[in-house]
Parts: sequence; structure tokens; C-alpha cells
Amino acid sequence: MVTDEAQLYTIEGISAALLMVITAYLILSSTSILTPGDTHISDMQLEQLGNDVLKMMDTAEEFDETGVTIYEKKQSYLEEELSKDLSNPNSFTTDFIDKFREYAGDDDKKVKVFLVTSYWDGSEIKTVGCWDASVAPPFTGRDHYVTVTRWVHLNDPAWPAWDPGHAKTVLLEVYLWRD
Amino acid sequence: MIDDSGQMSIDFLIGFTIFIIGIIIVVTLMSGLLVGLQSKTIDLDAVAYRTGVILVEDPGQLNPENPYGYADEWELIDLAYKDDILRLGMALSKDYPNILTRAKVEGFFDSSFFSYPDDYRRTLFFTGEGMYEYHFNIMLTDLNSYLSIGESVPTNQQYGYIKRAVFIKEPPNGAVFNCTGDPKRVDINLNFSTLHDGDRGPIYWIDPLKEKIIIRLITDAGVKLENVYLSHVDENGIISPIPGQYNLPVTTSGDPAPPYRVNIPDDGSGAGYVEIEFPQGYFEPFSASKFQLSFDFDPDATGSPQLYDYDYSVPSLSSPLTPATLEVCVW
Amino acid sequence: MAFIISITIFFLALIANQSTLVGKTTAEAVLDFPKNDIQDLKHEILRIREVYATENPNDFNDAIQKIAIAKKSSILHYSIDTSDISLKTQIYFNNGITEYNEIYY
Repeated sequence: MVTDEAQLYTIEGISAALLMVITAYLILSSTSILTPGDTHISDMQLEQLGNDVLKMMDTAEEFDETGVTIYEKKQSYLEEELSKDLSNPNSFTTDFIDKFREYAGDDDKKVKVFLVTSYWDGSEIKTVGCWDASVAPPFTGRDHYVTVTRWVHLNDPAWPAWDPGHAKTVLLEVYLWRD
Repeated sequence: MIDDSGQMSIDFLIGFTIFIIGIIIVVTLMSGLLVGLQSKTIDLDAVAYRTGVILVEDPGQLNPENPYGYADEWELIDLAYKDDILRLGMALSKDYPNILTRAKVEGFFDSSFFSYPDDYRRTLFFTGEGMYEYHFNIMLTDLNSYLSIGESVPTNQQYGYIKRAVFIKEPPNGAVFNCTGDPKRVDINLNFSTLHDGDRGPIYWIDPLKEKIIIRLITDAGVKLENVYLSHVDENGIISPIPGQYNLPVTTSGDPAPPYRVNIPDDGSGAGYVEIEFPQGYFEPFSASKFQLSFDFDPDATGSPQLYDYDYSVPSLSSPLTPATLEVCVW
Repeated sequence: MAFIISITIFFLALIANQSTLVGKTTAEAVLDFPKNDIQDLKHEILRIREVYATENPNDFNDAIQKIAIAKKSSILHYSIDTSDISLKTQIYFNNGITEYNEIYY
């Protein structure tokens, strides 16, 4: 006898079919998952290496007995270079890149650097023109980069031109990326 | 009654719609259901990073009840007490990360002291029997040498990797004293409190308790060396030879000694040399800080005794830092 | 009835699944902790302490604070006690996630 109870069977039939289809979809769609955070691993390795190399550059390789003050006796490469007159940053730029590659291990020629140095002049933060972009690898900001920083203390800098010799602490920011 | 209207009731449609919307929401949230339950990978990069930090920024640790009473000088202990090493680390001290000492580097890569892989697994990866057995390869590369421990890195498998840049504090070299003039005796003063110069700090000073000390004398050709002995100098300046510290072994431009007496011939440059080496930890058992090293030559020698100080005024003495890179691969 | 139970089990499985994806990977945890910033700051302060000792070492506080807020989004400040023979140094660092306090004798 045909009645309208068949609606109940229909609902059960439809939901059973749906469950089977959904299960099949679940199995097939769970084969590939984008795990969050995987992209950070190479960042972490590069950042740690960059910090290590900056720390090495900020440590004197030998104790200099001939220095007059305690500052000069333990003056590191960064302290010495940034204290000089930076009107021609070309040699500092190439020298920094070479020294960075030397400390990081020779096969890392793929690591590129870009440098910004900031200091406080009493009323605002200014940057020092110590980087010659024409000899350095071009920094477009489009490559994925990490930033590492280092505080450098300068006892007797030859800049700025209107106030040389004023001891200051500057922040060196290095942008690192791999090609 | 057969009805050919073929339309469903509105209640049914509304209920069905709500149900379908609910199912769709649940399904889209569930797309990672089975993957999450199957994942069993260890984060190998984390293990490599942790191992790198322990090697480069940690001086290591010994069991506080070790018979020497050391806290972290694991490179000075004897093979018999190897199990007292709780953790291996190559740094100079925890205040100076990224500065390693050459003695610890040599001790770490010494395969005659540490047995691969069990000792490294216990003290560096902290796994033991029944736990996951890490395979690893640790390499230290500096300007002219390459040290490594472990199996070769697999090419077809994922592995965790970290690279650290470090300085290695080398033992002092270049302590050369010019002792021509045919002296009867040469005395060299070793004052540890002068060597532990506060201005220099632990990175740049010479630490005779933990570093290898090499002293070389340039002598006339043809002199004869009778004896080499070590004495202790107390605070009043009284010198007393230390029992058992005589007939110390030296190398010369001729035969090595003992047995004494030994002849020092010309080594080709018109002069001869005598060289003595004190390995790291040699002065530790004497618990004193002022010593005098004496070289007795032939009593018929014509010159008067010479006295030198082993300190930073020796022009050729240097203890530099050499750059190196450490790479850790774990799989 | 069975239908309700199956939906309930699905929902519980959903909770169990989300719990394994929640939480950070180790790389994020390492990047978050400012180990290098703190080591660098301590090295800098100790250098200032070594070079200036009792001659106004606290003068650089201003510059360091301003640069740190602008460039590194962190609050730093240090003080060196010049009246103390051992030059007691206090260092404070806070970058929003990690706070670090040290007294060094």
C-alpha cells in the first residue's frame, strides 16, 4: 500500500548516501595538508647564522697591547670600521661582504647582505651613510629576507662632521637573504 | 493513493537544508582528520638546533661528585671517569658563548676517548637504550683542518641541519726565549695571577691550568743539558722544588730527554733548541699559582744564570682566536 | 539515534584533530625567543661598563632606549651603579613576549 511514510525512508536513504559520499571525500582530501610554520625553518637557520657572524665581527680576534685605552685594546672589526670617516663607503661595503662570507663559511656565496646603521643624535634617529649599494648585491625587498641586528659602541667616531668624537652606541641592522 | 503531484512538503525541505548545511560545515573543518592521526615525525631541525646550542654555548657539565672536583672541565679528566660527564659542550664558559677552546674541541672529536655512538647519544642527544637512536654527523671546519664525528650524511632522506659560526681559542704559541751566552742555568717564572690579567678577560688571557703550554729555549750549539725540574714559589719568594717533578721530558734539536744528560747540537741555524710541553691540566694537582721552571746546563758552562718571566711581555707570545664553522646534521 | 551518535563522534574527532595542529612548530618558538637580542644587549652593556667604569656610563641609556623602541620594538634600559666598587649593573629588556631582568656584579 502506498502511503506518505516513504518520506522517512527517503530521508534515511539520502543521509546514508551523503555520509558515504562525505567519507569518500574526507579520505581523498586528507592526503595533502599544508602544515603551518614549515616555512620558518630556513628563516631560523639563516637568522642564527647571521647573528653568529655579527657576534664574531664584534669580537676582537686578538688583544692589542699597543692600544692606549681599554677600548682600543679590545676593539673589534665593526667598532673600528664604523668609527672611521665614512664619506667613501665603497671599501667598507666590499670588505664587510667579504668578511661576512669568510666567517659564514665559503660555500655560502648565496647569502646576500644589506646594511643600515642607525644612531640617536639627541632629537631624532638618523641613519649613517655607510653602505655603497652600487657594489653590493641589489636589495629589492621582494626576496624573503631576515633581519639581524647588533649594538656597536663607538668611543671616538669621526662622524658626524659637525660633532666628531662624541661617543655613541649605534644599531647595525643587516638584511640577509638567500638567492 | 497514488498522487502524481511529486512535491515534497516544506517541512521536509527546511529540515533537509539545515542538515545539509550542518554537514558541509563539519566536513570542511575536518579535512585534516586522518592526516593528524598518522603523523609520527620528529622535528629533526629542532634536535639539530638544540644540539648546536649545547655544543657552542654550553661549557659542558660534570657530575658534581666527580673525584677531581671540576665543574665543567671535562677535557681534563681521565678515561676511567668518563661516565661522570653529564653533558658535552665546547664553549669556554657560559658567559662567553660562541668561543670554543681548542682543548675541548680536540677532546670532543677524539674517537679514542669517546666511543661512537653511545657516549655522544648519552651526553648530547640524551637518548639511551630503548629510545630513538639518532644518527648524526657533526663537522667543525676551520681554515686548515676539518674534524668530523658520525656517519656520512644521507642523500635520499630528510635530515635536520644547523650551521653555527664560532671562534676557537687556541693555546698560546710562540713562547721563545733566547738563552745564548752559555748560561749555567735558565729559570723561567710562571705566575698565574699575572697571566690571568683582568684587562684581557678570559677570552684573551692565557690559562695554564686549562691550556697546553709550550716553552722553547734557543741555546748555543753544543751545550749539554743536565736536568729540567719544576719548583714551587711561595708568597715570600722561597723556591722549593716539587717532589717528583725533575728529569722532565723535553725535545731538543738532538735526542729527546730523558735520559739526561743530553747534548744539544746545532739544528742547522747555528743554534740549538730545547722545547718542553705541559699538556692541559698539568698544573692543576699542585694547587699553587707561582712556579719556576729550571733548566740546568753543564756545571762547567761559562755564562751566569738567566731569569725570564713567562708573561705577556714575551714579544712572540700570542694566543689568538681562529674562526671556524660547526655544522650538525641529525636524522 | 544512531545518526545523532555518529555526528557526535565526528565532532569529538574534530576536536582531537584540531588539538594536534594547534601549537607552534619549533622553528616559530625559536624565532620568538629573543636569545640573540638579550646576549647582544648584555655584551654591549658590559662593554660600556668596561670602557667607562665610573665616568658616566649611564649616558647612553637615552640613545639605546630610543633606538630600541623605534627599530626593535622592545623596551630596554640599564643602570650602572658608579658608587659601588663592583659596579653593580642592572639590565632590563622587554619585547612584548619575553621579559628579562638581570643584576650583574
